[in-house]
Amino acid sequence: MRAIRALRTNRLAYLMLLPAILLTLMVRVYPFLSGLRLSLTDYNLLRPQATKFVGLANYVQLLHDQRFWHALWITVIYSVTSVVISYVIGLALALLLNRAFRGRSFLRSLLLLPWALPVAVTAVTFRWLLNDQSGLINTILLNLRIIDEPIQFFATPGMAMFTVILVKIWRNYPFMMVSLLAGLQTIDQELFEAAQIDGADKWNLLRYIIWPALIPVTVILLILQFIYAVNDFETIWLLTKGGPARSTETLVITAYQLAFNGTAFGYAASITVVMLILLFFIGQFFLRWQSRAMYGR
Amino acid sequence: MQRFLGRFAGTVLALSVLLSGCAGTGSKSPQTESPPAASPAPSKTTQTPETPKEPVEIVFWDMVWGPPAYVEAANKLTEEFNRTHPHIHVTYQSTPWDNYLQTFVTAVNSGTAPDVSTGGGFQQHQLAAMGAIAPLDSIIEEWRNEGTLDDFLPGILEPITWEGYQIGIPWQVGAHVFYYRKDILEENGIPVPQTLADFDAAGAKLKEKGIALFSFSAGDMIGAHIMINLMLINGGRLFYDDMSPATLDPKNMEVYNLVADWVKKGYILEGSPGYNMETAARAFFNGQAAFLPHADRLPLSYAKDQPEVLDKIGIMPMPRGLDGQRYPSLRFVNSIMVYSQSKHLEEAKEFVKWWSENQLSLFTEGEIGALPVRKSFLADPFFDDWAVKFLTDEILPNTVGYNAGYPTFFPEAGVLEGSMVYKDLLQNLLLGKSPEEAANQAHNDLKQQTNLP
Amino acid sequence: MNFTRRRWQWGILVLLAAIAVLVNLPVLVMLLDSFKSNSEILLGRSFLPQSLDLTNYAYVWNNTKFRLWLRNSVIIAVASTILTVIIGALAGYALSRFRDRFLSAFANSLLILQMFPLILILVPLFLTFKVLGLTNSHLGVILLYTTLNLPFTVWMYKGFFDAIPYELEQAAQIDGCSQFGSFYRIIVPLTGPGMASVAVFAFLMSWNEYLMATIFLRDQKALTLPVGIQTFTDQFSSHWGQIMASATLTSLPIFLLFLFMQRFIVQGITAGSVKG
Repeated sequence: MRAIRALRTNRLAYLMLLPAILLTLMVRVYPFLSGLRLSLTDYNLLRPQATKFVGLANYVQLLHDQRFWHALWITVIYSVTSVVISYVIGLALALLLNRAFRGRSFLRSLLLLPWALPVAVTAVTFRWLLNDQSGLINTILLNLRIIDEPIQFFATPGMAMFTVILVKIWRNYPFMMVSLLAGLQTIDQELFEAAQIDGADKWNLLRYIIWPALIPVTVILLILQFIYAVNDFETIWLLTKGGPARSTETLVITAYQLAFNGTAFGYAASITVVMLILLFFIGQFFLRWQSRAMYGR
Repeated sequence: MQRFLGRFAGTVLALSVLLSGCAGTGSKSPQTESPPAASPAPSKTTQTPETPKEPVEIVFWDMVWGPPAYVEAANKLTEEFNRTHPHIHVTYQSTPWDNYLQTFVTAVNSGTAPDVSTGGGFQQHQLAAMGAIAPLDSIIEEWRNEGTLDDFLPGILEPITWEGYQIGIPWQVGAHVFYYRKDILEENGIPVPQTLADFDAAGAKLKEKGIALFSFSAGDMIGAHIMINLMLINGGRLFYDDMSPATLDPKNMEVYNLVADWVKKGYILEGSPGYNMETAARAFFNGQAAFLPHADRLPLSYAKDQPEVLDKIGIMPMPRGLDGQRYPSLRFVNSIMVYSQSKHLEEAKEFVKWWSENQLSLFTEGEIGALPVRKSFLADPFFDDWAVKFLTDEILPNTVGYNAGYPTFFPEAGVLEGSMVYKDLLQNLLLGKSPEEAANQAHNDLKQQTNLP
Repeated sequence: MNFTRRRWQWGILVLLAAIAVLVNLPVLVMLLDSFKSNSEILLGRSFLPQSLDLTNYAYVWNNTKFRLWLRNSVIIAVASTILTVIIGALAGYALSRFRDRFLSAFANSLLILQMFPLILILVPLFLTFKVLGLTNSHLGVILLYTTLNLPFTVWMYKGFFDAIPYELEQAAQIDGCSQFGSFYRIIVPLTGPGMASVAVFAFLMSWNEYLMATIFLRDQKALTLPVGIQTFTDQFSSHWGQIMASATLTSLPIFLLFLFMQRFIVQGITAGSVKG
């Protein structure tokens, strides 16, 4: 791919790395280890003095907890659906934007907005837009006679899931779009034109030139976005708080509820450790897919 | 596979290096920061005997009890205190409700709690169990000596005690009530329900007209209150004498079955599982439902935006239980508390005493929904309206908190509130789950989260 | 360029414009509702406001702590952006030009650390900061945001530096520069666009962040915008007019930033994720 000169390490390298390492130790590593330790106790926020070391008891309880498995399932649906769909939308938009035309920059920034705005602002706006009493969406659909009763976006498990996924896709697609656009723009124009002269149609272009070039970006993108989706607390919390009846409760929400509303901090910590392990394996899966796709085909 | 192992080993290596280094510091656990034991230490001002030249700094975290007008009123009140008490300077901080309990608990655990705060109804008990609350008996004594102690509504002070100490000064009380559409009931010849069983007939008649019986704000924390109020007025309870959850008590099960029945017959407004307090009220104002279980005068403040509705709504007397008996209904009390970590306990208490005596403006200017706990405040012409009269005369005298059956609140009640177990139960019923299943889930959740038998 | 191609291009332009408008419907609603009174919003009679009434804005600007929150947001976002850029550049360079087991381990662990849901390290993190006296201060949050941005930033920078041939530093060193000097004088200026995009990302994240801010900044004087806005939502009801006005004001800097800087964002993501 590219030639990298690996030099012998000297003091300078470590010095330059030092601030980053210090911050990471202080802000991520120590609390993470503390969280690990917590998961092995029955720490309860209300009675911290009575904390006992319980070994793997929390993890055993997890495996038998219906709530955990349900939340795992919801997490999978939420993350896979939102990531895949926002990827496809992002790809489509990137392909459309991949030509120079006037106003492209302006359009691009407009399309980027959903990602840029604070989720604290956009979630509240969506809750307002989608409510059945005076929400704009229902009002428009009713006036256009597309429906004759307001849609309950938050009242049933199915619709609530639809709503949170919809909002997540809305927030996510811009990042996909921009990343893929960047990937597209690295494709050698000459290669492109040569293929067109040779008579390749759009489908072949996509499959043999565009897609292979996009694989590296796609892998990184999907890993990152999947991680963000699994860890995404604010979108779901501000829209439905995991409801109704836990139908939109992902693992992160469960952990939060157990820790801060239920004060079972030790148990909640064990959930996050499990999340971490799962994400690690999924990350590995993607990376192996990438190397197989690029080298092993 | 090898690359995988290599990467994994690399991280484990990095982690283990750091793990060994951190083992020592790991023992700095939260509990060593906060004062130990359950009984709060009696107030003692600390070392320095000389009077400080600088005013004493007091930090007051006040929750958001009303619209921005409330925060303005509270800031004004604080400034007035600072002006008239030059030796104390109170810094007012408006604290959002989001994550509130965890914010306080985290602050306490890390030694950064404020001097004074208001909070959720059980917050002082939850924090007192952690040893974080200072006793306020000296304030009570002062009022007793001044002869003003009975300005407080009867029975309002006693529940806010813990192990014999007064741990909070109540300042507002709210009751859960049933609002109803007088016009809808009249038009359809439906009498106001007297018992829980009467709702069935009302529901059937309304259904013919395409109107729902209830608009429930089940998507909000008040959903839990709706459920609990129904249980309480049926003679149910939340905890048994040994503090174990009474979720599966027969009287409670009756209520779950009743709600499931209403759901099956289609009496509950469709959007209820996702409604917050405001949306549920709007649906009620828009004539989609005839009854709205809600908190004290809140719907009236929402109705200000739709004034044509104001004379169509009323509060009905609390219905009797399925067995025909009248049981106490749900009420909430919020208090001001002082933190034992405070370095200026005497000044903090001075502020609390003043705030309690002078906070009428918070109600008159701050657009709060609940009612004050002082009779002198209630006598103010501001409260001369039908809703207040009804609440104070008909509802409040026959109410009880989550501590039904106990003289005081206790921390587990706070956990119950925070865990929203009963909100989940209501949502499950609304979505068609069987009462047994929903009740069992609630019971198990509660046991798990309160670490109780 | 023949005629059908141009029509095709126009078609795409129109399509994209339509999508852009549709997608930004919530933003439009937020903007339009900020000019309406609360009852106007609730009645929901019309999409457009009756008039360009600035009452909500005046109230938010004058009668609330909005200006204070704005100041805090600016301070925290700018400071954490600067720190992120510097620390990230140093670290990215080190990882790009040097190799050994420890450095590789660190590079690999970045991704893992990125995965951990921060919400649950709250108590230990808070305690760590308390020991260091960093709670309730801007500095604490600045350090926090910088660290949160670090994995992505280092990643991007490593990508940028990888793309620059080492020959340039060698040439500089032959001319008498030290290793660090060659980094500082030659390489850094070349990453101008990359640095700009790192900066935009970092700024964005810091400006929008809510959860950590609400926990670590309790002092009323220290609140940032996303947290401050929540105080307009009291326990029982929302004041939509004011919420929409403050939401619009909060979003405005971001939108302007994008308008001028989005070029760099794309370039940055190019270098970061394509070469990743």
